[in-house]
Amino acid sequence: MIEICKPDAALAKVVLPQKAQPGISYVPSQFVLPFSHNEKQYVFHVLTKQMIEGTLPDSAHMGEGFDDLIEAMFLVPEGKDECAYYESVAQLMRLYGRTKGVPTYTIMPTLGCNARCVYCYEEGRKPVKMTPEHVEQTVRYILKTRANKKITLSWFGGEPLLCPDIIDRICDRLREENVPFRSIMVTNGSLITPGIIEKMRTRWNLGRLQISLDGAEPDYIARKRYYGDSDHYHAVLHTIGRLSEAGIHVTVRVNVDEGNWPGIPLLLDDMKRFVEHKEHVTVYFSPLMNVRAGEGDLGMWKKITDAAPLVDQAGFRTLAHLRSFRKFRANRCMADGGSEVIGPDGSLYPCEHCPPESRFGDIFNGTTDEKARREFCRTDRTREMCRKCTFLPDCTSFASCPWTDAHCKEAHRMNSIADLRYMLDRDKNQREEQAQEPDEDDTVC
Amino acid sequence: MKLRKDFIVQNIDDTQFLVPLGHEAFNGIVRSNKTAAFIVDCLKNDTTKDQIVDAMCLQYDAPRETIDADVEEILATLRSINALEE
Repeated sequence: MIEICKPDAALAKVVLPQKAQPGISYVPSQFVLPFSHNEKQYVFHVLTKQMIEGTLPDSAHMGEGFDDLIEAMFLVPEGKDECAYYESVAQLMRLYGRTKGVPTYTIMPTLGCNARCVYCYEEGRKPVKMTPEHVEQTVRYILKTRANKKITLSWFGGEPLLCPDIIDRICDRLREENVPFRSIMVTNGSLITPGIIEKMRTRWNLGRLQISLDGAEPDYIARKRYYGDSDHYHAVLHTIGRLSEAGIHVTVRVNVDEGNWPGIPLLLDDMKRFVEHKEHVTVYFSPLMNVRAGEGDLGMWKKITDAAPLVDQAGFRTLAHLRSFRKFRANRCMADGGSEVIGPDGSLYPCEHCPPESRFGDIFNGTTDEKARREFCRTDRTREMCRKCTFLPDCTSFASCPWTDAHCKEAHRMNSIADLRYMLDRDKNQREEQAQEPDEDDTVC
Repeated sequence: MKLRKDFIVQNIDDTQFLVPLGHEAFNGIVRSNKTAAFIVDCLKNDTTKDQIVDAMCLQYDAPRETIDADVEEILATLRSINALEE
């Protein structure tokens, strides 16, 4: 067995080597992902994160030369309920990673927004804004419920920058109370001024934010639909440049469908012109929700996968730069990670989509409906259609998640293989670069 | 004595693990052997050392003194990670 990547170290504490037993027929695990790259064959284990070079036999028995593959769980006993096994491993890792208290609060200062994005799932909701009383109570609630470590405040909306005064107040009060915190934010970026960037750095402890862009200028205008028909396209690109210059990492989420896809090269060209510190900017494409849930999702995912080199060539970081294939993630989203969402009316939710049935309390009374939260976040009931899936360990394993993909398995396969190939190339390049660097001892001064 | 509420018992296949929940004094994972797993199972309810030894004597064919020493050793380990409520 030629090992390319070691298994996840933390997971290895609980996923014990599987001892080969006589008389048992072993078959490839449901979690293995075989793929080829540069005329070589590889197998990646989606649960353990181990990767090997080579192929797996269709079946094997102890002593036939495959005991190492059995030990590493690339081969498992025929008929093993691997979903149940995964569920117990994931449950344990979630328990292990859990902290006392809330580690992350997603705060929605307002549901109001200066844009009317055509795809917005909050459309039709009242643009409620936090009252001063709600702001003060939010601080009290955080002080009472927070984890005893650095907490994360995730500013979300609506457009959170319609209310910088609320962000100021909450951050200032937490600082007065000596609460260690950092901020992240999801924004359309149109209201970011040099003064706001300064606040982000010095007052809000904000090191990273996400800005949504919806294509090149004509698509951006048509899809963002800012009030007053304003065109913020160039201003937002300029802002991304300034943010990256200030050392704030920007993730640009480009919401795509077939309509705005042709304009993507132009968008990247424009971004290249406006952003100097490209190393601080990650660009990723996300199919709109209706595309993901529709029959056309695979074609869109294919285009997105094929476009990754464009982002790379433009000098920006892609998600593959960030995604670690070497670590098992116990929590797939905020809802199963113990985070809480505070709505502008003080309601508490486990998910930023704020499904009404998941409301579990408010900032004044705390948790009043634990059952609603528990039911929404239950992780012990994998969807029937997902039980045999290769990518179960890389996916949301609870049935209440509002996201759906029509062809999620194929989309996962395509994206994962593309990212694994990227990782192999990157590792190879790094090895080659290191080999070319002279040792310090060899340096002639 | 019994297992503290912030220690959760989780089984994966035939192996028992003991996981602390946001515990400040101990943040590892305990993997139990068969004897330890038996004792941890006993400690899910309020019990005494003698009751655990009695239960083990019914289960295992070994001298009482040996079992007593094993139980003492495992209880000491559990105490050292603050997993017991006494």
